[in-house]
Amino acid sequence: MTIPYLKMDGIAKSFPGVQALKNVSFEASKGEILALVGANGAGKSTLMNILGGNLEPNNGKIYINGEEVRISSPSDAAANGIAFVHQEMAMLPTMSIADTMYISSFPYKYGLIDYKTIYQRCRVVLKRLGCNFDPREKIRNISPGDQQMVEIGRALLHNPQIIIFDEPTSSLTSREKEHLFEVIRSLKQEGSVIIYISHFLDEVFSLCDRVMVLRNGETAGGGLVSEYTNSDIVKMMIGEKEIDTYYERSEHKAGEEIMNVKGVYRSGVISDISFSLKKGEVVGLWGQLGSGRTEVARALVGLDPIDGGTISIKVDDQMIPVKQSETKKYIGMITENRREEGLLLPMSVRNNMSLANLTNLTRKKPFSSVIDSKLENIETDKYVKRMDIKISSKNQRVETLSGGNQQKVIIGRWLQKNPPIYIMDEPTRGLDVGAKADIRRIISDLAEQGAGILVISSEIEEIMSVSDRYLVMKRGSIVAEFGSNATKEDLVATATGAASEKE
Amino acid sequence: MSTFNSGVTQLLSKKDSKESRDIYWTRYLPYIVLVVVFVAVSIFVPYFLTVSNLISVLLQTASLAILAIGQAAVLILGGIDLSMPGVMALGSIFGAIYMRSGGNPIIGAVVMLAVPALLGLINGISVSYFGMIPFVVTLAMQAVTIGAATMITNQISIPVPENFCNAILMKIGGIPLPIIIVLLLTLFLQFAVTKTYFGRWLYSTGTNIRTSRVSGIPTKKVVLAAYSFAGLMGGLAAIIMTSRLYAASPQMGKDAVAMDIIASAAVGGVSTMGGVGTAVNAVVGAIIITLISNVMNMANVSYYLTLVIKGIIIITFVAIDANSRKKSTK
Repeated sequence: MTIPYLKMDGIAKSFPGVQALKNVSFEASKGEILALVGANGAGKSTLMNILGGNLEPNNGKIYINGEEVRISSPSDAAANGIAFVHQEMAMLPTMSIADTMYISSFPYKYGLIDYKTIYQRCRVVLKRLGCNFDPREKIRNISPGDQQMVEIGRALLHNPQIIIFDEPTSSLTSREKEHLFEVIRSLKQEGSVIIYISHFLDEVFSLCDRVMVLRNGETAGGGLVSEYTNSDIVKMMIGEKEIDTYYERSEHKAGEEIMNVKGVYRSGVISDISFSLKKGEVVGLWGQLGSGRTEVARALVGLDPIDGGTISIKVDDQMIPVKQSETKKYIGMITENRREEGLLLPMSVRNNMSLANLTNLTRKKPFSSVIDSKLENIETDKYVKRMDIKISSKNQRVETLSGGNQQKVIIGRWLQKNPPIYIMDEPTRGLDVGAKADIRRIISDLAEQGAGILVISSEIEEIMSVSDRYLVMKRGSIVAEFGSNATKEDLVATATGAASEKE
Repeated sequence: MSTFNSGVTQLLSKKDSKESRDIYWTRYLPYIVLVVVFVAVSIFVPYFLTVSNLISVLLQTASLAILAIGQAAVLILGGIDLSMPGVMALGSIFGAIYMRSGGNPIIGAVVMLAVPALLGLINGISVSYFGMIPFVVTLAMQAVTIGAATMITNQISIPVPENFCNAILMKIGGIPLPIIIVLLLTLFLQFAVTKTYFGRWLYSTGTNIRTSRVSGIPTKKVVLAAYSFAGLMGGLAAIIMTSRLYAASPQMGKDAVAMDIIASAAVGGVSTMGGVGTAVNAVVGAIIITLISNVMNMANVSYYLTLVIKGIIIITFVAIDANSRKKSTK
C-alpha cells in the first residue's frame, strides 16, 4: 500500500439555501482509480469543482503529497498537477485539435504562436492516448469519442499527477468507451491518481479499484470495490433509514389512454421512446441527469426536433396521430428553466398567467380578437386563489416574486388553459419545502380531475411521492417500467445500470 | 391615459418596487423631450407657432411617422428592419411606372402598397422560417432594393399624375389627408397592440421568444406578420412621399433615411431590445426627429454634421434604454 498522495479533509461548502457538502474527507493514492458515486445532487460535482479550483470551500483542507495546498483557481489546480476532464466537452468546433488543446496556454516564439512546438507536443500526447490524428484537423471533423480524447489530451499536456474524469462516457459509444477505459488504465499504470465520477455502477465495477459514495453532501461509505456488490452501493446511495415524512404517497385511479408515444427518436439523443399515458395518472420519468429525460419531454411538445416516431393523442374521444408541431395544443409544458423558458420576467402576473389562453379570453364577434379584460381578471383571480399565489396585485411583475410563486404562476397559466396532458420537468427545483409540498398537492389534484401527467424530477423521494407508474431512462432509452410498488432501490439500480447487469 | 404609456410598462403596477421606480422616469422621457424641443423651436424660430406652419411640419412628419410605426412593430418583436427606405422607394417606383404607362391611380396606389408588403414578407420568411439574422437580411434587402431602384430609374425621377398626388394631399377641414391617416392609424394600432391578443403575442414574443414558444404562441407567424407589416407601412409611406414630391425617386430610399427611422423609434421610447414601445411612441419620436432636422436645416448645419448628431442621438437613447433594462432585471 502506497502513502495517500491526495487528501481532502473536512471539506464543507454551502450555497444560498443549500448545504452542498458537510465535512467530507477522503484520500487517494498514486496508481489507483477511485470511483466517486452518488445520486443527483449528492455533492460529487461540488467536491470535484473544489479540487479543480472552480469553487472555494467554506471549510476544510487539501493536502498533496503530505503538504497543505490552497487551490483557489483552475490555474492553481493545474500548478498542483490536477487536471479536470469535464463532462461537457468545451469544444471549439471550427478550430483545430491543436488550438483546442492549447487555447488557454499558447506558447510563443518571436511574438507569434509557436505552432511547430505545439504540433510536436500534441502528437506526443495524442499518441500516448492511442490516437493518430493530425493536430491540424478541425474538431468538427472528428467523432465525439475522439473529441473526448482531445479533451483528455488537453488535460494531460501539463503532466498532471491527479486526473478527474467527470462522467466521461455519457456521449460515447461502447467501443469508444472501451478505448477510454484502456487509456485510463494505462494512466493508472503510469502512477497517476485517478478520480472517476460516474452514474453507471457497471463502469465502476469494471474499471475502479476503490469507491466512495456521497449522499446529501456527506460520505455515505466506501472502500475496495471488490468488497461490495451492486446493491450495497445502491443502498449507500439512497440511504436505508430515510423515512418519507414529507412524501405521503397518493394513489390515483387511471382511466382510459390519452397519449400514446411510439418509437420516437432523434439520432444521438433519444432512441425508440414508446409509452402510454392514461387519464388521471401520474407517470414519473426517472433517470440520471443526462439520461435523456428532458430531451424526451421537449421532443413531445415540439421544442426539439425528432427524426421519427408517432405521437397519438386522444382528440374528441379518438386516438389520432398528432403532428409534432401540433402537440402543444394538448399538452401543458412546464420546462426545467423557469426564468429562461417559463416566464415573461418584466411583465405582470396577469399577463403571464393568461399567456397560453389568450385566444379564449376574447370578446364576442366581431371583436373576437380583442381581449376581454374583465374575463382575463376573473380568470387570473381564480387561479391566483386556487394556487394560493402570494402577490400584492395582479399587476405585480413576476420577476419580483419568489421562486415558488413564480412556479405557481407558470402552472396556473396551464390550469387556465386546461389541457388534457401535462409534462412537468423538475417542477419543484430550487423551491422551499412549503412550495414543494404545494406543487405536489397541485399535481395530485390535477390527476384526480382526470389529467394525464408526466413528471420528471431529480429527487427520488419527490418522484415517488407523486407517481403511479415509473419509466426509467438510461442513455437516451427507456430501459424499464415499474408499477406503484417499485422501491427506491429498483429505480436507482435500473438507472445506474446495476440491475440490468445482474438480471 | 394608460394606453399612452408604452407596451410593457403600461402593464406594470404603479408602485411595484424601488427598482421599478428608477426606471419609471424613462417612460415619460419621450414626452419630456418633445416638449423641450417644441418649446425651444418655438422660441428660436420665428413664425413657428402658426397654424399653417404646424400643419406643414406635421405633413412633413407623416411619412417618417408611418415608417417609424412599421419599424416599431419589428423592434418590439426584438428584430430590426434596415430595408424600409429601399423597400419604400422601390414600391413608389413600381407604382409610378405603372401609372405613367396609363394605369389607374387607384391600382397604382395598390402597387405601391403591395410591392413593399411582399418585400417585407420575404424579410419575415428569412428571419422566422430560415432563422437568418434580421440585421443581415434587411441590410442586404436594402442593398437589393436601392440598387434595383437606381438601375430601373437611371437615377431620374418618375413623375406621377397630379390627380393622384392631389387626391392624397387633399385637405379635410383644413387638415391634409396624410395627417389624418397617421392619426387614425396611430389610434387604431394603439388599440390593437394594447387590447388584442395579437398585440399581446407581439410583446410576449419580443420579451421572451422561448417562453412564448413553450406557451403555444405561434412565434414564427408573429415574426412573419411584423416584418410584413413593416413592409406595408413602407408602402403607405411611399404613397405619401411620392405625392408630396409629385414623383417617384430612388433618392427616397437612401441609407440615411433608415437612420431617421431608427432614431425616431429610439427617441420615441421604442426599445431596440424588444418588448417595449407603441405606435404613439413611434409618432412622438418622428415629430422630435423632424423638428430637429428642420432646425439643423435652417441653421445651415452641414449634411455630415447632421449625420453625426443623429447618430449620437440614437446612441444616447439606446444607452438610456439599456441602462433602465439593467436595473429592471437584475
